[in-house]
Amino acid sequence: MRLDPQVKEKLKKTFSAELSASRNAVRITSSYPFSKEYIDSILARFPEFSGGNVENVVDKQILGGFIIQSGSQMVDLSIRSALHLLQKKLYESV
Amino acid sequence: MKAFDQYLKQIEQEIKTKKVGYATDEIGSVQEVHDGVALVAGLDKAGFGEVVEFESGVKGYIIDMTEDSVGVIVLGDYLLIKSGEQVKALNYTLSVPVGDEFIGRSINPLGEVIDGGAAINAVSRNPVEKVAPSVVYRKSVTVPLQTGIKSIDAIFPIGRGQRELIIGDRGTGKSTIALDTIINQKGQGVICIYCGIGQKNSKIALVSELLRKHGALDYSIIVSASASDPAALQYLAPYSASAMAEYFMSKGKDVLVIYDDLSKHAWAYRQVSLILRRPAGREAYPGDIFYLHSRLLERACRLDPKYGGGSITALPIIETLEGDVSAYIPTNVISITDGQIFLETDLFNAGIRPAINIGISVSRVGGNAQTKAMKQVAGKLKLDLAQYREMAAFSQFESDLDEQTKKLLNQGAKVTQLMKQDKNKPYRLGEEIIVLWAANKGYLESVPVTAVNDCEAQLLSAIRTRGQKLCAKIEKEKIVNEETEAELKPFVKDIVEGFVTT
Repeated sequence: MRLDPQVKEKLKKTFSAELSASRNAVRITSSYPFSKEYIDSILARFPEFSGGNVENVVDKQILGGFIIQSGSQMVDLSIRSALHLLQKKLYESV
Repeated sequence: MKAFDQYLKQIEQEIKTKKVGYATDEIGSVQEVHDGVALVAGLDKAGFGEVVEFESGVKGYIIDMTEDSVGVIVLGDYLLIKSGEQVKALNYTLSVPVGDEFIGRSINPLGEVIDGGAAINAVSRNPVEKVAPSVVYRKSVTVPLQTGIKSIDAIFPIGRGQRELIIGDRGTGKSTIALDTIINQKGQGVICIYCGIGQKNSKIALVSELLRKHGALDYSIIVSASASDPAALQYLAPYSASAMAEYFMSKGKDVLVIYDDLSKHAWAYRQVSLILRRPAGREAYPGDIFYLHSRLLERACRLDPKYGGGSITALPIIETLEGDVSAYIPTNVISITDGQIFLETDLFNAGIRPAINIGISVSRVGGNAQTKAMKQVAGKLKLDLAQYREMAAFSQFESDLDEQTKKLLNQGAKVTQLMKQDKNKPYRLGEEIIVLWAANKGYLESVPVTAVNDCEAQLLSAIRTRGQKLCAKIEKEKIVNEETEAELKPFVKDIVEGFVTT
């Protein structure tokens, strides 16, 4: 495709900016909305997840605790996953 | 309700004081699901060969990585997997449970019992994919592995640690040779693993029954991914069998592994590769089809006693179509192995069973492993058969031939008859040697060609009754010396002459 070099350059910049923003985006899933300060205090404990845009998603399904996720990295500290783990361990021992 | 409040308080207290550790998981989401293969986006830091777990609890195994997604073969029911489902990397490569408990059992490639018996709780696990031992750890093949089949033990001897291909059309007795070899390992201290790939479940049941009947299950394991199992499991089966064999080898034992058959294994891998959209090459096989089999068969070896000894002998089986050995997979595996036993439909139909084509079968390293006694009798046998093949074309002009040629033809025809052997009736080493010795010394001259097999049967029954001591002596000394020959002469003569008169 033929493009004006200037336009192409601009497009490239916008595209890479968008991409890096989405790559660094951090998503915190919780069972009720977290306040800004609370989120900051959580992120302070997880240095590998700091530095991106933070989005707080509310999902009652996780029951409690929170899931923090960025790209393909995830830390699951939800009650749901803890219960799943318990269930698995119980069945394993049978 | 007071109790409940108290309870909650206690939990809160506990959480406050307790430090919660956490682990960062590597996750992705399912994009596409095909027959037994799932394409997963994400999993950026997962490694090749790593095991992943789907939300539904099914496990998978990474065998393909592209820029932004990975290909996972599903080890279980792929119909449970939904698009968009979360996938978690489990941080370890695929391994199978191994141990002595598996002897006598039938299992699938994941080590789960399929014979209806109790589940096995194995302590140790071995990786499915393992790099073969390097040169330093190896020793050349010197110990024979007796198949109990006269023609193979005499002409194409197999040594422990060798890889000998069994190749032929369907219904030519490939599996029979392999199973006879297993049956003959009774009391030889060899652990046998029969790995069925894409076989009918009925056949696996037959194999299991046959081995049980001959008491061979006491030292055998059956690993099977049947025709109804997903291609992913069929692909894994031989590696899994190999992992099992490596466990016993590491204990210093000799192991025999039968891969029945590698053509179906190549088909399963072709299916997986085409679903993963890898470029198709010759016969639509992917580019790494050679490596698929070479890395498997390279794991067969004989370890130096310094590194624990032990060996893995591999007998891969390949099914050809219309006797075409120049197809892709047969040529590949022929070049990887240390020789091949070629079975032919024509010979089979002519009643020569095992239907081994002596002209194009070969064993490249087994000669070093052959016992001295067998070498003594096999030399002349090979010559007889080679000359017979050369002269066979003239046999129709029998009346015009000179005495020498007639004699050659006669001897050749008889030796060819003598190479026949019923299935599931392996011979002891001593029995093989006495029978072949008799043929070499010309005792069959007076026996008509059609009666060779009857005469042999009588000789065999005599060896098994009166000749036990002689047989044991040869097996012990591993050589036919003059003293033994002096004993053999009257023994054989007695039977052959007695046979002619009756």
